[in-house]
Amino acid sequence: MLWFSYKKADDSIFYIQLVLLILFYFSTVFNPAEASREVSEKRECSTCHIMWLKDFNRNDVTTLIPYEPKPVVATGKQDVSSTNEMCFSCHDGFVLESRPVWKSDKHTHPVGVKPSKNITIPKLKGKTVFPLNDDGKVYCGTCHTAHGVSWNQKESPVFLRVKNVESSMCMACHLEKGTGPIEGNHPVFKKPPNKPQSLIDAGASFTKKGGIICQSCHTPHAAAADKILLIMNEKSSLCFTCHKDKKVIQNTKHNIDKTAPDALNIKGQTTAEAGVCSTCHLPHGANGAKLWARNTNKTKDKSAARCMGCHRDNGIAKKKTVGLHSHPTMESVNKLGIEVSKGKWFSKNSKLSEQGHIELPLYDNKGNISKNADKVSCGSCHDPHVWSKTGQPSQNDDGKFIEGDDKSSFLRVDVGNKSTLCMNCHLKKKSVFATKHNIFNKKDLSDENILTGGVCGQCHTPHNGKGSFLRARENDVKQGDFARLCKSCHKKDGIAAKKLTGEHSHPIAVSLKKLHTHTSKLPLYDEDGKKVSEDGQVDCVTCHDAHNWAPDGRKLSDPMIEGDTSNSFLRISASHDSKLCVECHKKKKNVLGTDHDLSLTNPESKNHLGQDVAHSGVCGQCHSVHNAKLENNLWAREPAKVDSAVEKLCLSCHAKGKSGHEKIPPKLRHPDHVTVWSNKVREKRLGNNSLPDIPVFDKDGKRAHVGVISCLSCHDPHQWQPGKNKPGNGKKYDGDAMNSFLRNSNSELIICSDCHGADAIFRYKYFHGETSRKKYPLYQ
Amino acid sequence: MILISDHYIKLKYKLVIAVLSFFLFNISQLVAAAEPVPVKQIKLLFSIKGDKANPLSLPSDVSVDRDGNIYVVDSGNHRIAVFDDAGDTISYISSKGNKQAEMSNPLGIDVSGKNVYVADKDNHRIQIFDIDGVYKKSLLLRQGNKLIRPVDVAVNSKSKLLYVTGNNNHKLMVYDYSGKLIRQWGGEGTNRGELRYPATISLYKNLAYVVDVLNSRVQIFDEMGKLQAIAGKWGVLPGQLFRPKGVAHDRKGNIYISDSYLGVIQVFKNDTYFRYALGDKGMPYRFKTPSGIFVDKHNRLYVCEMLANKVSVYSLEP
Repeated sequence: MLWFSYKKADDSIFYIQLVLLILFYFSTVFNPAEASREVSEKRECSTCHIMWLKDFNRNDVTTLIPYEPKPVVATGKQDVSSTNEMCFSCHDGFVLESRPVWKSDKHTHPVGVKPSKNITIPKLKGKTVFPLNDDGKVYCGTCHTAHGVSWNQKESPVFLRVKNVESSMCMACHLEKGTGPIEGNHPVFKKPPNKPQSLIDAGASFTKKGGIICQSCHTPHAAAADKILLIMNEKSSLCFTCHKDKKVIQNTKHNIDKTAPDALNIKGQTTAEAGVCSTCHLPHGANGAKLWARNTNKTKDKSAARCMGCHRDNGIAKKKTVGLHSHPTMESVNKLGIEVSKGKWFSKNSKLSEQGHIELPLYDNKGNISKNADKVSCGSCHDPHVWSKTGQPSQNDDGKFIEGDDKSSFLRVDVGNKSTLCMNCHLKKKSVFATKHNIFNKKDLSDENILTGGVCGQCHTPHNGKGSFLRARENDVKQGDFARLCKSCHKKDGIAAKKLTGEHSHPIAVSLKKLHTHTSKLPLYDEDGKKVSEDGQVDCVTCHDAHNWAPDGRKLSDPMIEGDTSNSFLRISASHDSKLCVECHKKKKNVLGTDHDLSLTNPESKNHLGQDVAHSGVCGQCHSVHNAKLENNLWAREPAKVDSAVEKLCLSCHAKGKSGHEKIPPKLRHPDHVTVWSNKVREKRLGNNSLPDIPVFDKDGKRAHVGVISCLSCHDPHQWQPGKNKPGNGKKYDGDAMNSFLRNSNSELIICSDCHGADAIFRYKYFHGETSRKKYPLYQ
Repeated sequence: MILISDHYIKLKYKLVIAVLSFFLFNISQLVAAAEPVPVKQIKLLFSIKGDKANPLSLPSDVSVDRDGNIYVVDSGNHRIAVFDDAGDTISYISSKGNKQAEMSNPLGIDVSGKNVYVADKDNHRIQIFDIDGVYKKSLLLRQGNKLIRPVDVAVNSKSKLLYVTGNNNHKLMVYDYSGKLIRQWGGEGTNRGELRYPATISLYKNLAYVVDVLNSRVQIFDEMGKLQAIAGKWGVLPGQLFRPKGVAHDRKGNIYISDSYLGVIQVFKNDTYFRYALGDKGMPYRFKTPSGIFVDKHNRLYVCEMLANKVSVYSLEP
């Protein structure tokens, strides 16, 4: 109660009480936050936080709208300040322009949904950076806030919770979409191959250096298409904006909508649904590198695994498989003498610089293309997007696909007659152009004999080869895989019918180990035609390099001239001192410089092919590698007309009028009815490894366990002196019982002793001369 | 002494009575029941959504010609959609682009005589078509190096002047028919006469009624730009505005103001005093983000409900 008094002294108390009462009122009853007051901080907050207005708490007034601080809207329950209507009330173009965001709610960043399991919303100091609404769902306020970040609009749109520099905000939640090709996502921060004008026109953003980011293809609002893409991606039109050069795939067999319209990618989409690009590539959620959209085959070559996912027996491209014999993949070009550095190819033999080469894509061990990779894979030769680099049509006028050849078939380089694609890597094989093995040098060749693939293609095919060496032609040779490549032409009715090996020819498919010899210069092969270093066997190509006419790399002025033992595609010359022969037949080298070296004793001598010693080589005077006169020892001379298979050989020279007419043995032979064990057998049975080699022969003149004693039982025509494992001294002279090509110099261990006892050695050494034998008192 | 004391006692009495009255008044406010929002009943006649294959998108403003044809700024589709008085589609004018006769994010519209005037906001121009949709001319709005983004246009056919609100200069500009700027006023601010994001305009008896969005009011100017009155103020109570967008007049001079957040349309007398909100059965209608509005000579109210993608037509005399 107010003190009310008439007394003047009480006035001050009265007024003090009055003031206190007024202050009490204002603190408790009077509402200072009447909405119609002038602008203040609270006014600005209530511009969006409308429910903070205290008018809603008053009982004496009715507000135009009810009090509802957290309404349930389309996106769920959330604060009124972040509802669609609140934001739109300014962003409707009348204040700020954001109408495109609201124009279509079809293609926009999802709202009103809970984040997927793939998304981890980042936290900062324990607080969620991108809050969800009360229902745990994404809403506008998840990314946007009127309280905003930096106003530098060049960096980042305003009213975002964090800066969005180069799509950093997108990546804050969607990191799994931006980790690059290794994890199956489109590359980011990399410049596109072409300027994507249609994306730019649609408002795409890029890094400062023009690299791709999320917002190069996507926009969170007012997108034109599904997946919030900036532009439509029907028929992969968005992909082609950047990858213009790939557009040509649409008219090829790799447009699977045309060739396998029901085939599905890993997302279960047909080509009609996914677009031609997404048949094989997906920008996100792909199967590893190359953003692969299909299942892959299980092969070691990760790159080929992609191709083989379709090009396999039960794949959608089962009519185009590579076969068992196919160009190798994951092999290094280093093996061909090509070094790779930063995408550039170098070659020590300089042939790379001679020709215009193309640096084909090479792969690393993971199947990825890189500038320092050196391995070949499918994509090295094939560009799966381009049917033909020279513009060969892929379809005929009726729209049917044309069968490919060496000018199409998705090859990166035309093959053509010069096998350009092959020669791009196989530098050393280019020498074949100047040889008879360049089939196009042959004038009278009929078209039916010409295969596709140019020079190389006549013998080799990169896929579906008929056997080893990727041979392109078939034949009926039955000796495993040996000689099959060569004999597909060098056969009776083949292209090289004039160059046959004949009935009697150097054996193939024989192991040098079994002959107790080896070679370090000539290649040997296994039964599958694979080159091996140990325990390999001889094949045609052991001696011949089908790509090089002569061992010294000489080119022919006329590719069609007749060859000899110094060329004829031989790896090593066989003329003169027969280096080729002695590379394997090492012990036979000892014939050089002996009386049996006809270059010394009878240089005019000719073998049955009419070759003199210089041309045939020392070995070639007696032995012919091909077209020999006799099977026995591949005899190269006219055999003597005698019954003994061995004597036929020796007496073809050691006879009147022949090369060895000065050395005709008066007594020819050991009695035919005497057959003995060979020393080799005796060695085995007696457990004695030191018996000299005294071979015996069967009726065909071949070494046998049991056989007759003949010329070659006592003589080794290649070695002048027993125990001296070296060539002769190069002088022609008369021999004696200590040399004369005799195999042995003592009698104790020879088979002769078994019958002839002590005088065996005399009979052995003086077999041909009765008089000589009688000189010795021990002779009986 | 006695006289002084008597006067003094009277003064004290007066003070006590005044304070007690004040207290009583305010306490009575707390206990008294709140009065409902005054509402005038209106009746929905029909809604216009456009063709099924070609619906309206974010319609922002509307105007009606003398024949009753309805011209809607179909802003999401960057064009003008023309309907007859029953709401059936007649035609479309323009399309998205920046070339002649194309539009980019248009907002406001006025139909005067046989011409249609459109505020082509992001092309910085007023485009003029005839009522058949034939392009006539455009007026580029440039002031020095600055291109103006027009929000609305209103035509005074008597004075042959165009009134244009500018989004990025916060002004009301007056142009002649040739596009020459005659005068302008406003500028960004909260003081009387200043504007913060002026929106739609309604001309009535040589006065320009301009929605001043972020100042939550409608300012009324004469032809020379002198402020005459202000309708509305910020708030959520009847007669207050929160996010005003559209303004229109009926023949009696009543001012209709739409509030795009509150969703109500309130009616003020010509002297700017609040009369009522529009609604039914005592409850104000909650329109869906109403923006541009128009009242025709038959007292039909046209309301652009932007987020509902429709224009609703009501009878103000049910």
